[in-house]
Amino acid sequence: MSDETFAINCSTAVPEGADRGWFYLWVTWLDQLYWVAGTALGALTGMAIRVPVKGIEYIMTAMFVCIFLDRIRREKQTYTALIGLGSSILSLAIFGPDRFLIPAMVLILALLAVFQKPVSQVLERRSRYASLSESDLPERSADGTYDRAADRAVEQEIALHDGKGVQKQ
Amino acid sequence: MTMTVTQAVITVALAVAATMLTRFLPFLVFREGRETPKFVTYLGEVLPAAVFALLVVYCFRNVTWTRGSRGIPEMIALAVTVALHWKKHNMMLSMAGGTVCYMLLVQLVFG
Repeated sequence: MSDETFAINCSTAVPEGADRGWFYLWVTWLDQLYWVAGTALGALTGMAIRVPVKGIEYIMTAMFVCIFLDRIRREKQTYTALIGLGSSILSLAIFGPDRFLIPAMVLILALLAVFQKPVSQVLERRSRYASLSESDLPERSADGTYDRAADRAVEQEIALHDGKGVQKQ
Repeated sequence: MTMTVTQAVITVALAVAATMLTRFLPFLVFREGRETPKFVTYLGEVLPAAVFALLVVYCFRNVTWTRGSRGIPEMIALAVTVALHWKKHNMMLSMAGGTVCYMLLVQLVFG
């Protein structure tokens, strides 16, 4: 289990018909294989590379940024992302680059625990948006979020939707 | 600092034990079939976004904002990555674009 394995397993939808356990196992062991093989290859051939590679380490930053954006897009909410960003930046400012990780994690956990109720409510509401068809949804504003008036419209839509569901039964 | 063989063996053994403990523990505590506590399920839903935010900040932890290039190449490359990803939804493209942009900046412009 590595950061990358976690990243892939939690951001990829398991293909239909595939067993969840085997899927995760294969992702994990292939990751391990690539990691060890890549490291070995680099150690053996690294000296031969003459291309200026300064800055190549940015690829990891870019990967985390992409996964972060995918997460926000899929969850259709930014509260937890903002809690993570805020806690991390605050912690970095206070404790410095070498010892900010653990305080940041503690702060994230504390905030998520404190705001469990409102955040869960938002999550539930968003998953109900997802269960509605696209045509039921109001226009989104440019930044991809729903404005308040539209939010209320969707609430009514959901109520209507639920009503229909009950009537059918 | 050189370690004796015994010290090295103990160090590696501890690292292995700690790694295995943290990996196996969740599977032992939360067995499939048994209901996972609500708070843990909640964390499973909300932690990923927060943790990836932390990882992004972690990647920028050593940027000096007041001296040198003041984080300008990092922020330009970040903007390129975000813009590419927001428009094209292609992870490989966004990563390559952001990284190449950063490499060009630190090698040619801010070098």
